[in-house]
Amino acid sequence: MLLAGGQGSRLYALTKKIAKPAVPFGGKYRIIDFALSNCINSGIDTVGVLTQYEPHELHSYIGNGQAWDLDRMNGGIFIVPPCQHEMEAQWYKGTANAIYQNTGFIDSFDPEYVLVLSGDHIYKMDYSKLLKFHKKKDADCTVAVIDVPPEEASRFGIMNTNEDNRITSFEEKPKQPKSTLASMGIYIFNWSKLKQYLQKDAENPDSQNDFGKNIIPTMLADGNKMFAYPFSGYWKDVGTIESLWNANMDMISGDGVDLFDNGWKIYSRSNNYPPHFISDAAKVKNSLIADGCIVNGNVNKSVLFSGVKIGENANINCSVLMPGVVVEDGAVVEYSIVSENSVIKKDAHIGKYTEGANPRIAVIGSDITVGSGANVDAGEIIEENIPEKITK
Amino acid sequence: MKDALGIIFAFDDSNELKELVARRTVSAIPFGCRYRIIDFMLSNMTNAGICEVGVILKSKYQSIMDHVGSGKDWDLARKNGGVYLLPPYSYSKKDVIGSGGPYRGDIEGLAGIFHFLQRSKTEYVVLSDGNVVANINLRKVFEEHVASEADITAVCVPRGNNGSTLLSCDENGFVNDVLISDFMSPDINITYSKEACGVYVIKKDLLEKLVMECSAKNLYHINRDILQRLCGQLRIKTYMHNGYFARITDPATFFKSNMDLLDLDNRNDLFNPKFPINTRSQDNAPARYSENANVRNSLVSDGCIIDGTVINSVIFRGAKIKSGAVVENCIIMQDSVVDENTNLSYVVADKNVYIGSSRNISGHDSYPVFISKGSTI
Repeated sequence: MLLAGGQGSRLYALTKKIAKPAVPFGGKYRIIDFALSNCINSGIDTVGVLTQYEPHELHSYIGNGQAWDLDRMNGGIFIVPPCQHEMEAQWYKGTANAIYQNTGFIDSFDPEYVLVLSGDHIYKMDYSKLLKFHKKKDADCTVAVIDVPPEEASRFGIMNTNEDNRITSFEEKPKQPKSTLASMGIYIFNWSKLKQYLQKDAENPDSQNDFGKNIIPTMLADGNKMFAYPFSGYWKDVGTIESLWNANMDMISGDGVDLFDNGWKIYSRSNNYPPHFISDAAKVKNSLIADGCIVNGNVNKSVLFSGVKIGENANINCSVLMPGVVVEDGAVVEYSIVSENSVIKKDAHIGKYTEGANPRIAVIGSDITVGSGANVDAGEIIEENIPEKITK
Repeated sequence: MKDALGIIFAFDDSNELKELVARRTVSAIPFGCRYRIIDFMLSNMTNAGICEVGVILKSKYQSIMDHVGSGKDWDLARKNGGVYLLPPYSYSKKDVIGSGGPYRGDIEGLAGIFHFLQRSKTEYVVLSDGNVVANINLRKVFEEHVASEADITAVCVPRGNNGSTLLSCDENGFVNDVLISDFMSPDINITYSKEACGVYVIKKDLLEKLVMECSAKNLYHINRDILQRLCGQLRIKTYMHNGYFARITDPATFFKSNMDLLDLDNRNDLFNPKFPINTRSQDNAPARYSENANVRNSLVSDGCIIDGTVINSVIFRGAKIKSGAVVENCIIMQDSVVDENTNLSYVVADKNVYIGSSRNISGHDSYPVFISKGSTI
């Protein structure tokens, strides 16, 4: 069950009209492609995608699931938005409530185990190994965890475990973390057990109906066998502008997920573009360029999605240009994310380098025109057209 | 255009393509970074609304079968219609004319799948050769054909420099003579101003009649035995295609037409987003350019890893150009690797070629060096 209903409010302009899992990533993907590809590569062929916030882009993107081999006679992909029930009609109130409202849906498959994922993360994981671990430990619930640097630990839900990986206690965003094992928000449950706890949780009016805040702590307190599956590898939550930008940059340097590994492909549904063209005047280095781009200018340390056009003498540096973006002659785009189909007119200047480990990233929303000569400062978020700057 | 059945002749023996067709039929030759030649006519047909397409195969057709598959990449995986891959000996002798394979020409191909032809419920047939690279508005061709009440409409381009099938028309626009030759003197009468593209529209029952007649007379080439022989008796009209057109018949035309893609106008014509050329999807990552990458005037596909210098070249999916390598005026096909410090000039590397480090391979504009599929240098 893939939770894809969130707004991702900390992505501001990027999620104004689309849900976070639908946000373009890595030159030709959308964030949800990683979880979906992991599912099919792990041998999971029945996936429910729970949508809620601005789901249309996500729905048309997923379609019948063919792009991920999830169009199947038995199982396959199912889009599951909230719906009216006999007794009530309610939006999904929280992650646990979302699953709870779909108890009937899950029951129709009569599964023994349910894997709960979110569509927000960039990573590769073989869930079959997670399941194997869960079965070996005879667990009621297994939480996938990743080691985080000690200074980061207070941002996560931290699991404290014994030598057998059994979870002894759990703290949500602890000020003084006792371990560095962070919950990845990936859980495997025995369905019968989870069903019970979802029911109990639904009946509790004080509950926030959230896995991390309610289900997991309650199950733990009741002495259920909860285990932590240690994951090692690249994993990034791209819920903020900075982390989204960073993760895109990781893809260029090769520090991120290996997109060129045919053994574990990341599938996506792509439009059919002709190959990209690098002109005589262009200079492209340290970048990812997708099909359909026409590059006449300079591109360095950047990710260009499909159909992006770069004019002559334009300079793109440390930026992410989403599908269809046009940057006209002489414009400069640096340390920025420019969303779909926006146009940066001649000689405009978007973004600026800022000192420090986390540079401030400018964001241009989708379908925006930034007028010629206009300036957008470091870290600014633009959601409206900017008129041209008239210099005397 | 549910009225028309599409037929693509995915074979062509009269070519000089050598290495490129050593293991595959001409229609399966990779082209333009991510396509195969058949993609153009297949897409032209589906863009025109044709929903039933037969692809006549003759030999070395595994690549084509793999590539076309169920036809889903061209929206041809359908309950009604769809794409039919037709290898030789598909039907029993009772259901076809002639032996059912191997075909000496396109008419024999039609004879060999006669059952398929008869069984289709369409009124018209759009025929196409399998070596055509063009974005042709077949719906317009079809509409003009129907309006003109011609027996056959032949899609043509203005006569080029190479030998081929040249048509001359009378004052009413009907073809009155046809010249077919590989060696055409440039000062042949200018009335033979049109070159046949190998794309025709014809009523199905007329086609069936002609196939039966030609087979009975041991005739098997459309251009020679229908156009040339019968242009006096049939009303044959021409439709001028004014966009890009290439026929892949020898290494020179293959090389040139790929290089033609470096020109923006040609790309805009061929890859018209309103009439897109579809191909089988592969799930490659976007191309990655490293610090040492130096690419100019080149077409590069998804999945490539570029660490070296690439100039005036066409680089297909998944190719790797390593650091210090210099690739100029080359066509590097899928998954090939050019190792460090190697210099290539006017080289066409087929799929899965490995060229070791510090090598030097040079051809010339008039004679590119072809390296066959899977080779290691």
